Amino acid sequence: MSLPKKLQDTFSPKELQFMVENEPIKIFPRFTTRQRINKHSDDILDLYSNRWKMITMPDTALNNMVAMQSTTVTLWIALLLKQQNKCNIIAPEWLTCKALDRAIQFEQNNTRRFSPLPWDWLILSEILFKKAPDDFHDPIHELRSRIQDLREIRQLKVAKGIKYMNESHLQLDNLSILEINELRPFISGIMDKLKEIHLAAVGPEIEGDKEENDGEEIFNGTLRNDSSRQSL
Amino acid sequence: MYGDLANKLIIEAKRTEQLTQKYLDAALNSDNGGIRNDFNGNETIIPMYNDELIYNILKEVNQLKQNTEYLQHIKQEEEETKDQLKDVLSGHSNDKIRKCQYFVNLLCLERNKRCLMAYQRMRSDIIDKMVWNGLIGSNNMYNNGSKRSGYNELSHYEQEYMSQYKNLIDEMNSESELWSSIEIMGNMNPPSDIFIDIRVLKDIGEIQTEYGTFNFVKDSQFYVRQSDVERLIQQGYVQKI
Amino acid sequence: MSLDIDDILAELDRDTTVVDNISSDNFPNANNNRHKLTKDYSLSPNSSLDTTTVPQHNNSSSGKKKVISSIEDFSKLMTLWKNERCSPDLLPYPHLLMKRMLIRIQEQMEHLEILSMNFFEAQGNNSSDNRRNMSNAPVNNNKMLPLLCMEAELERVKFVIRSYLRCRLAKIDKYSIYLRQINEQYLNEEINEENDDDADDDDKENPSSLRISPLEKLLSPEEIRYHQSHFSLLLNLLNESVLKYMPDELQAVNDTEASINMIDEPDYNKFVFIKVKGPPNNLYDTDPLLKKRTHPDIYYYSITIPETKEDIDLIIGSIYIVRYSLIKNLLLDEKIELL
Repeated sequence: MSLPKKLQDTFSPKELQFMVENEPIKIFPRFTTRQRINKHSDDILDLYSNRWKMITMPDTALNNMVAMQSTTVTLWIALLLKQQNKCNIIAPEWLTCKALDRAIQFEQNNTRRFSPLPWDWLILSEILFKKAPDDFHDPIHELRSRIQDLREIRQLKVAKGIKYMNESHLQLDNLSILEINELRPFISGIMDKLKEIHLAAVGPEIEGDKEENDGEEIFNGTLRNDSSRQSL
Repeated sequence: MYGDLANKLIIEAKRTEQLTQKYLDAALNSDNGGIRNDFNGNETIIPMYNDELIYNILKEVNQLKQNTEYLQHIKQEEEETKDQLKDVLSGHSNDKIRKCQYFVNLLCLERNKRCLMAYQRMRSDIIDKMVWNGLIGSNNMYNNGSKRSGYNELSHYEQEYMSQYKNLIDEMNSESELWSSIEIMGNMNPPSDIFIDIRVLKDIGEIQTEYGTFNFVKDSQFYVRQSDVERLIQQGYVQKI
Repeated sequence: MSLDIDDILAELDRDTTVVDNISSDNFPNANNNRHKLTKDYSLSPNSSLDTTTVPQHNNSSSGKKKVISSIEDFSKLMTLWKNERCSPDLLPYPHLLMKRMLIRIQEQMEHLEILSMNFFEAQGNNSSDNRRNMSNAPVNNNKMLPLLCMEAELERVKFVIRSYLRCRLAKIDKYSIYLRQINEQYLNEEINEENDDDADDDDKENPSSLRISPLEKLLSPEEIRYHQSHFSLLLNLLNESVLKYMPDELQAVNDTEASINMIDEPDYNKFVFIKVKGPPNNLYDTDPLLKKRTHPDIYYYSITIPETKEDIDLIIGSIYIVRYSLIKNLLLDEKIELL
């Protein structure tokens, strides 16, 4: 198979990080890329190399950075600049002790709902803790422990929610991508089984009906060996 | 008992699958994202094609086939004479028994076929994976004349299949602009750290890259494209910082 | 330098982007017969820069021209990649999108080549020893940064397409026989319907024999070739090692008559995680499937589980686990995404 088996049912952690890296984030650049329009220069480098021409993201912001003026760029660019000491990353608003405390409060007060954290909260916080630990106002260990608390509260909630699994459907608002990815094999596996049992009880003819509606029922002819044996 | 041999084959298939999966997973987890360059030719990815067991199952298939033919023959004869023999009761029960015998034989046949097909498909899947993982290339055991021993694990037709499949992929890769420009055989892990800081551990001399010539003197440090120095890292000449 | 490729690309898309039937965007020749398409639309990187080679569409009634930016394309590509990875069956190949992506990749590669050449020439002019200094600390030079980022970006785009295509190839292998059967069934039907008048507008202009088969809709030309070639290699292997030793009546590779069906087909009832996005471009008013509750205003799609007749409301912005078969059409219409 052209796709490794491990990747056939779910995303790898690296792939999740890759998705998150495409999200925008605010930074303070430490250098300036904006150029005066009529700047007189015959330096080839200024005309070519110093311009960003991107194909997956807007490049105006990149070509108009001014040192210490905040701007929004794609996360992986921010991380690359950060690695080169060319910017500081501005932590998102929800990633402060105060905001996280509020989220923890919400999780505790609402036993059957998840707090509206961004879809990438776990992965993004992990990336920023690792790659830009000096860019937080709050002490990083405080942030870390709150993230850990949140994760545990939510995991517990998911565990309690298992009893609601059925053969029909589930609604799971505000579940983040990492949490979904972790639960995917378990939940969809169980629900697939529940559905099988349910269908067996209701009777198989209904399933047959539905397949016809899809217009994709199997063609019942057989592909005989003699007609398709090609290189004898 | 009929079917026992096929059971053995399935157990072997299951074991083979687990074994190779472990190996290929390890390949994916490596930095190369499923591409193994470090293959040394001594490891076995796929166990030996079980010629003997297959042969015996096929023999059983033949036996079963003869059984069904015989039973059919008997049935036909009986039907021809049925009208003459008025003993409905004994004829009926005989018929039932034969039908049952016939059915059991047929099921065994079908099952043997399924098992053989499953075994072969499982192995062809592994061969496919080996092709995609770059294990079948110009510089490893499956193509390297000196290490031809590797061929022995595959049956004759599997070897044929392998080289044809590899040709297919290579051909399509060179003919499709899309496939070649995105390097379809490339790394299955998302790119991370495309450029890395490295320290040179041994004097190497000048290295030519897309970004100019680097003079790799011991203890010097560079910021380079990871893919440019992959081999040097593996060989221990340079170190990721 | 490449000037404005978007204009040219938009030209290609004019028919399909304004048609509100979304599936037409996934498939280029909704309004043109396929022979014409393969001739006229096969863009080489050179012809893409040359406006004169861009075919004029006979269907000029669709006046609105929408430029599809490379940014939109990339985000769509990311969505398609995720959807493909999460869906149990094979989704339609985005013919036009992939053509644009290929052109963009090739152009960017050319652009980068020119840039790095200029860069080193300029460096070389400045000082003879500069190459080495530069490589000692290339990124301390701000001028090097865009180049590095553009290189990195290219690798990222290539990865997504690679992962996407290889996921598709894996499914093509898995459902190889199943896909063949869909096509055979279609071809048989076509022979029967040869002389039937088709009510469909698009087909009136074209003889029905030029209609597009399900596989051509679903797969790229490369994928079709791969599917056929790989299948015949596999069949040959199975014939030689198993099937030819079987009694005549058991020699078929796709035994549906035997007691157990041996053909792998997608599990259309598999549970998948979805996020409800709503109508593309926020066209809330024109989506006939969209329902509304007031106080507070909530928009949702309603689906029904066939055997229990249970209705499920899929509220925009929410995440659900539901059976794939129930949401496949919403997925194809880009009203939901798989997670």
